[in-house]
Amino acid sequence: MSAAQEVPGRPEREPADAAAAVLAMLDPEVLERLIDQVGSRGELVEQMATQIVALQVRLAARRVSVPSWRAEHLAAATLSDAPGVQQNVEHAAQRYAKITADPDLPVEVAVLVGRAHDAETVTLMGRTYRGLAEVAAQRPAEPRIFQRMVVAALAAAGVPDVGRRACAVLDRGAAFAAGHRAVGGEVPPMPVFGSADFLVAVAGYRVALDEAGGRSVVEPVAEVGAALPELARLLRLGLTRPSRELDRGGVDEPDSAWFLEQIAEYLGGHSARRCVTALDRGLRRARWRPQPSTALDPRTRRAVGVVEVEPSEPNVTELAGRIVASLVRAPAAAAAAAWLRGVRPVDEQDDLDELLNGIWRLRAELATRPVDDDPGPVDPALVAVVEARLGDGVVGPVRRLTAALPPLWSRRDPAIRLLTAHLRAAGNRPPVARLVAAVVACGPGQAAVAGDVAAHEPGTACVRSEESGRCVARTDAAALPPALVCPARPWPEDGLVESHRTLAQRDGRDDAGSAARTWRTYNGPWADVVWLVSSRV
Amino acid sequence: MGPTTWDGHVRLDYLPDSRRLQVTLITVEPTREAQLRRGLRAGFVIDDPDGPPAFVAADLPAAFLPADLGELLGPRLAPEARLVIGDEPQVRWLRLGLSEVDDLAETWAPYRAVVLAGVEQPSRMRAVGAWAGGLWARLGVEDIVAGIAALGPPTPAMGDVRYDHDDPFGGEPEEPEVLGSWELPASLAQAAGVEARLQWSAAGGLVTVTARRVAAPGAPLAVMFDDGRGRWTVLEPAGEGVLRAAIASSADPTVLPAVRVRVGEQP
Repeated sequence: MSAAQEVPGRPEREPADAAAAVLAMLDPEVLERLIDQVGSRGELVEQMATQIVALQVRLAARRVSVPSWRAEHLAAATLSDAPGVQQNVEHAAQRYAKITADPDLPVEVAVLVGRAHDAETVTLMGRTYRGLAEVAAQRPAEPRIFQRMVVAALAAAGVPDVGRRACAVLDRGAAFAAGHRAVGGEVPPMPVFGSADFLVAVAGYRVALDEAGGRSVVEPVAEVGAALPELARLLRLGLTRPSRELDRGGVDEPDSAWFLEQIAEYLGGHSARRCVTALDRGLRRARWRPQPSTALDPRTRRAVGVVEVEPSEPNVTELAGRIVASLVRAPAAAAAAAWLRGVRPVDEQDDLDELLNGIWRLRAELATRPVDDDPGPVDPALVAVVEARLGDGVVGPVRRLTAALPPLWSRRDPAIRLLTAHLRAAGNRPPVARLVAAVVACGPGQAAVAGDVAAHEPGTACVRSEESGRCVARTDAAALPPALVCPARPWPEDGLVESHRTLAQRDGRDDAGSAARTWRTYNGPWADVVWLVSSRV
Repeated sequence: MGPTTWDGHVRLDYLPDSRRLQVTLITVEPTREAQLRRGLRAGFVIDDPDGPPAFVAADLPAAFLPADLGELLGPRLAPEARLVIGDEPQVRWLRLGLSEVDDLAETWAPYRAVVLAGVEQPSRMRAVGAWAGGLWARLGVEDIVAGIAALGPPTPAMGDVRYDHDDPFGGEPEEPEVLGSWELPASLAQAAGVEARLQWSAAGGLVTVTARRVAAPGAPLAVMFDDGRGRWTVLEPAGEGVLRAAIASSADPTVLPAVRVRVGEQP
């Protein structure tokens, strides 16, 4: 029996454990900054634990009873927006009051609560989160963004039984949009960015929400059409307003996150928008300024020195623990755990960005973070799985990392196309998006080389494209030396996959210099985690 | 952030009143749309040279999914399309995996080239579509149309007016012929074991296609007018190293539909 259980009113859980559990739920970017700010993960956990105890004392003095299952809510309250650990215990107490305004608020949502959210928004976040879970379980194929906006709009309207009602609205809205499309309903002229079908879908939900609110819909096609000009106006505004943060993207790039937020407001009002923005990982991420990675030379964007994955005589158990701790984290913890066990994630598109992000983060951490820092909580069974893969016979830092991680996907090209589309949708120009995606989509032992290096000549073990004359696929058996550039390398194979030259060729050009310039000046998503290896490797 | 076609969220709608099937891969990106043939429209993301269709609309007067369209939609979407045509609910969401989106994109490559170019110039496009049945490409007929037009207007109403052709073989063609050729994409020609040059001769709406073998017989080669009737005609041996097929279109020769060519077994 632990000492904690003997003291009434005190959580059973050790404050440090609760703090560590909460850290694992944070967006990786937030956690990264917290650790950078405090110095190490261990120090961060310690500061939070101290503040948790102080908060318990403050709450006890006010006769606020804190049930033992609230340990992680307490821990979440000790975080501040900066991000950092609350220095003033009164602020922590205020945040605790806010996140318990909804008595059933899950901890995953509690960590998203910030200074800007009032108790009403927090309650709305809780209702939306639960309603969305219900809807998503029943309708796995429907875009989550529509579900979230419709659920938030209904929750903000105070509708009871939000999940069930949302399913009905989503069905009606889709039928209205389909009907409008089928009769060739009028669509206002589209700006260069934005899809008419997307706007028509949103307009369909608008009409369906009105109907759910008690208004009878007689001519749905006309009503969908009537909603479109306002949506097109918001889209145009999103295109032309200066980006909120001048150092990311650029003033002339469309602010698609702002546009999506406006749609949420259009469907559900101001508090629904705040709620959607807080709960949507993509929208949160769009507001994060990329931090220069410590593994990068800020001027050249090349890796600082040769990437040392770990010391020459690693403790395999420790290395496996660090790999698991780094990868199995919010927001793709479940997918990463399944992947490490060798199970292919079902919704591969949803998690692909995050899993790749995880691989790059892991590489950066292994290269730069002190080995003795606490890696955070891990599932021992999972560590054993990774450790078994590492075995005894695997030598060399890169080889070891590749051995530890199962292949993610069978082909690299579709993954590049998916990432390219995501980057375009986030406002990057098509050539920039293509380049960044190709640099990002690397297996754990792969990298792009910063140099004007041609791809290798197709050999007998290559599938040579009839059209381009280049190698488009290879048999795994005939591994190519790592130093040769081959964009068709399978995921588990170590080596170079792109160069400035091959990146330029993806755009149908042969000018390696333009690719080098694009990469050097790029400052959007991924700029903080991804590097090109220097041409010496 | 907003979904893209590569995320694979598909909405299938069937509207019984207009007997129309709609397939939407929901995306926030701008698309360009065009009529591909009678009863078939498709839209593609403008900035994505490799992408799947973002939108397909097919008019199905018989309330039935033709085999040709089923083949284009592929093994995952076609059975679902048959379900929405036949049954409630008539709006249905479906999630395609990454490789399924990629397959769809590969299948539609020749149509994507036409739609994104915004003009009908497929003879200069080398886009090859890949599907379970093999490979296919779209061949432009502008040379055929121009050739027929250059012959002058047909004057059947005059009855007795004949074209005065030099006719070294002494035959009497019913209609004047126009000759020319297409360049097949390399991969397609190789799979069929034929020369990349595919010769055609056209007389009105009747087009005869001739291929020359360069290798042992490859997979079957077939052609059709892209007029929505969906009937493939296989090129059959016609003499030493020569394969031939004749296809007819009932359309006016000035608006002849494009020709599709495929290599591989038909379903």
